[in-house]
Amino acid sequence: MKVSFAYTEAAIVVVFCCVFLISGLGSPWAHTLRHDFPYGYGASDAFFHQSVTEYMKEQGRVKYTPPYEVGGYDNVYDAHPPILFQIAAPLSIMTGIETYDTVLFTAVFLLLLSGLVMYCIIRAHSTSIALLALPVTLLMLGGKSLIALKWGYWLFIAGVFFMLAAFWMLSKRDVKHSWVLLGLLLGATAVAHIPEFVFLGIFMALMLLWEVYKHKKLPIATLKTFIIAGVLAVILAAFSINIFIATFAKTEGYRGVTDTQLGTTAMTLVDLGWIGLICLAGLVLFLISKKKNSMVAEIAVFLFIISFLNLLGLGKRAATHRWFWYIYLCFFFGYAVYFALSFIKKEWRTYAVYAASLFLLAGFAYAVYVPSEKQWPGVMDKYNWESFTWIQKNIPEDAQIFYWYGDALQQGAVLYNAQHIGYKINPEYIGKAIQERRVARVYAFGLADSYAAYLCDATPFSYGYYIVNPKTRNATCMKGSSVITPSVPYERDICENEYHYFNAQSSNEPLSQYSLIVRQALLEGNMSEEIYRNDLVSIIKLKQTGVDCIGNITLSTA
Amino acid sequence: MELGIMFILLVLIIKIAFFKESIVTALRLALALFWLGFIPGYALLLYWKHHLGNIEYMIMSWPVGLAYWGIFGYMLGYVGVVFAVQIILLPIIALAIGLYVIYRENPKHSS
Repeated sequence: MKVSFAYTEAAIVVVFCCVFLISGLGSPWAHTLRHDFPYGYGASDAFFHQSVTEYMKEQGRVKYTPPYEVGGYDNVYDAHPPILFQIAAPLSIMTGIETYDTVLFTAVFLLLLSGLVMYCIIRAHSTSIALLALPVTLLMLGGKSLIALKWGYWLFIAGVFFMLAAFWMLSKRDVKHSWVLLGLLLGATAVAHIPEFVFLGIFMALMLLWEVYKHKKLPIATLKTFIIAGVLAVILAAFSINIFIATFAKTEGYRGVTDTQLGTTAMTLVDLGWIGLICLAGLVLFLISKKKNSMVAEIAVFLFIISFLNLLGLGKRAATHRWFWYIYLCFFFGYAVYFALSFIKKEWRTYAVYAASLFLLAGFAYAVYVPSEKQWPGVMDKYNWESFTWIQKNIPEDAQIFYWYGDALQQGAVLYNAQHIGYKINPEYIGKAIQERRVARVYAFGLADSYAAYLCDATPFSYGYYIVNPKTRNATCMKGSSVITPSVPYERDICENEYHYFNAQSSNEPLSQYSLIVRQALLEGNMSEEIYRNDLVSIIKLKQTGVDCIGNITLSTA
Repeated sequence: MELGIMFILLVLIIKIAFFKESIVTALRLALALFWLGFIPGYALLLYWKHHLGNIEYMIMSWPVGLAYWGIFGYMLGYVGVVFAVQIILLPIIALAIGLYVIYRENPKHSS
């Protein structure tokens, strides 16, 4: 019986999608789509994206950033690339699933599609190699690569996804009117994450130079396609690029950092292990083969080199690409395995490719799969989430909340979920008070904010900035410098702060114990009342600010 | 036919991965993804369909559709058009473009 290659190929792709979604999100989410609070969130960035998505959903569009994330200012342009929010917020509206679930789902879905887009790029070279390479992309769900998902590098994932799609289009550039699709995908890359747009530009320039070198003449048709597509992309992404130029390009720009900025989470070649060795074998076999003229190899090598550009000062903007090595380099893995299979009789080879692809799929799925009961639920818990929801509804909009030590509360963006301006305690000040064996009144509190420039409309036709943070009564949007200066002291007297938020437990026992002593001191001072309490959280409100608010309590009496 | 198969597969994949979730939620999620991401891409790629294999066409409809949704949705939002309108408007415009391509490619109408 003859097996249709197309049907079998499609079946393998569908199985891959199932396995990817089960390992990437099904199992971490206990095979449900709705949760009572953000589940599987590992770091501040993830909460930041979630809180912005929620605000965009409430606003009905992606434009301004939540006021409580920018010191209380309304109508501050959201400086981050918008496409993730533009996808996740409507998904929540259409499905009724909370934004904290749809935004993580979107990130995983884009990661899955990134693997499939790379599959299409490889497919132009050989369908068999593509089928053997595809399972490797499952490894994005394990080891250090998983950090991109868990820690909330979701804008980066979106950027890589559209960048890969633009690479696919570059491989089809000879098709009639290809500039339309190329322009659209380049524009989407710019709107998703600017660094990947820049890398695409570098690749296109190198392509042109290579063609000039190879043919000893200017490739007019390619040049024309690239210029028109580039102009179209810039027009399509104009709003986003404009905001980027006025914000991140000013405050961040060229990093000038040769370190990866990722510490121990940065991937090294050693992390690739035996997969890396097979990829290396594939690269060598490819280089000694007759069919060396393959766009997919050029893309893979280019992206691999990009991931080391931290050495030229691009810092983590380049180094994060190492997490994607399993997608970038899977072509060479497939190439090596196909070479091994090429010793099998020709009439059996196709079946061998199917079997090997399924075998690899099963093997890599086994390597990355973690059963639901062993999954880490993330830093959020139901008690803090309930408290945030309570604050949203019961504490005046312009009130500021001061957060004492708690595991989840040390991630600045977590506090955005209370939808109020929040300050988090600097644990060093608690440590100092413990050393001095006293209950201090003055501590350092850091403002929870995520933006380096508060872009606003100075006039109907020009941008300006708010330059004091948090908002003061006479703050105005002004042209000129974007540098923000604090309008409140870093060290604050707790008796000046109206709302205090405590966690009863944390992994750092001394810090949480001390925080509870402060809570007790506030309550014994008779100037405060507990306005909310659950099994983990206590919220204290000062009846009057500016007076002595703590009782006569010392660490030895507590 | 292709669209129907794609939708059924999407529902199936979501339902398998999230088997404890109700079929209604899985259907709604599949429908939302399909409407916002796949349909616009499928329609916009029709012009180039002859240059692509079936599997490639089905896969690449996603990035094209999401790029279209992301860019034009953001633009509309920027000038004040809310998600509720974007959700209806953008896929319908993409479908209209796709139908126009089919109309133009019909030998009766092509000049």
